[in-house]
Amino acid sequence: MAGIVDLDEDNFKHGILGLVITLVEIIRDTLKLQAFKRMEGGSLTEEEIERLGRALSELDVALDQIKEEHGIADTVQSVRDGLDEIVDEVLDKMVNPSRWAEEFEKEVQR
Amino acid sequence: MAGSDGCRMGSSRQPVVDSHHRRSGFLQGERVEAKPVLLPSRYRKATLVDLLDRVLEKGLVINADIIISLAGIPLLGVNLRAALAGMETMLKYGLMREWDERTREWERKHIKEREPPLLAEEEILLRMYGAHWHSKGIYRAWQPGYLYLTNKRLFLFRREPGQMLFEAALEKVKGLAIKRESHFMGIEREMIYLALNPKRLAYLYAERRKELLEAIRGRMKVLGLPLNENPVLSPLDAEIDRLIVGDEITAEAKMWYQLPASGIRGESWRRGRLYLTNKRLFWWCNEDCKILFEVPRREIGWAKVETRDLGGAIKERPVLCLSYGSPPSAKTALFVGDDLTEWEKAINHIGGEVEPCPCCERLAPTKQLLKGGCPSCGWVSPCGRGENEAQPPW
Repeated sequence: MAGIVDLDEDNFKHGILGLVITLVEIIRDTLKLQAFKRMEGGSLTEEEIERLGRALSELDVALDQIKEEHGIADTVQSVRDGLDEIVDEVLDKMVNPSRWAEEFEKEVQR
Repeated sequence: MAGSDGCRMGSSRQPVVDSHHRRSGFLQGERVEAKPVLLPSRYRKATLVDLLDRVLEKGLVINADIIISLAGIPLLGVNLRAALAGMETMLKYGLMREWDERTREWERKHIKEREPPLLAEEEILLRMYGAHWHSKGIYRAWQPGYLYLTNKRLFLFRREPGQMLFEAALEKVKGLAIKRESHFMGIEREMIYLALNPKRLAYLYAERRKELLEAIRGRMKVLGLPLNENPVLSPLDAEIDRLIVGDEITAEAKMWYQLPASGIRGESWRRGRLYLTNKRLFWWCNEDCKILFEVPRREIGWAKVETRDLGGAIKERPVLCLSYGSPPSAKTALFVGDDLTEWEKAINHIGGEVEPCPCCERLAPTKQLLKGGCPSCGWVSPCGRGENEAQPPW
């Protein structure tokens, strides 16, 4: 698979922290989308919506702070791009069976 | 889920272009050129978050019955029922509705605990992201939260779950110091030390340090309280205080120490602090909360900064090599931290004059070189030999 998660090899801790923060970010984004759905769902009160919004924005601030403090914004971005690429590639193959044929042809040619 | 998406977006291109151009009348008769802007195409940027969102929206249900048998006789039975979905989807299918209500009800009742409890006539002057080094018993960790400066107190409060992590009345603040320290990630940052009364040291990190310090200084002035800037700091751990009665600390710093291999455990790098006092050099281990390396001043040989690999991916870092003990059984301890050359100088100063051995060129105290020989390679000075050997009989 072409999508390789590129971790900074020079600094192992950098990479590990980057990976952890990436996971937290993905969870945060997922929670955010679910929060919007709940807000649109209409079961929450005004006050709850307000509180949820504030908590999410605080989480944003905290994450940005951590990324800035440790200088891992680029690492996180590159790990996320790598993961997105893998997902994109797998989905692309799943929904377009024609790609399998293409790949098979390539294999045969080789 | 992903399949339906793909079918809609990934339809074959040619027919769509044709029908489109047939409909747009003014293009009739002209040579039909496919305009890429109008082409439907699969949205190439499907991200992991999109994928998760789609899964959670539709929901995932696992329903499995498994029997594990041996020799045709069922031995274990597994009945697995799991559902994973966004809460909105759960509610749509009537799942967890009551639980959802109860959770929100509980939160509504306990909402007051989420705000920091203020004293009478207390006003918040400043609020920022910060952290406090918590060190009590065996539990040591950075606790992040929001740092509040009020007209009466400085405190760190965490909202979820609501807890006061650090608290100090302004009249108890005696001194304040800022030190640049290297963080384990390799960057330097400014840390705040607060000397408190009764004798206690708080170790803090704040997002906007300058602003906070200005505000503290300003507030202390208004209250008419003295503030000692850059005081001599007592060690962070109360336990050290007890251990060094009578010692006078001349230098101290955050330092990593390579714990020698023992038993089945190999060498390992540990976090701690190195202290040089008027009597000894010792290293305090943060995790074990005890002194793991100690050598009296008179047994300190020499120190030298060398470039070494520290194991794993950490290569070619400056390391402070410290030789101690008398020559036949001299040992070496390794330290990593800031300002290693300063430490090298300070330690080499202890034994008086230092010079490189003429044989292996490693530094050693002059006195030791002359009398006992080189602690590293065993070279013995001709002058020293003359002194030690018995006089020839003639």
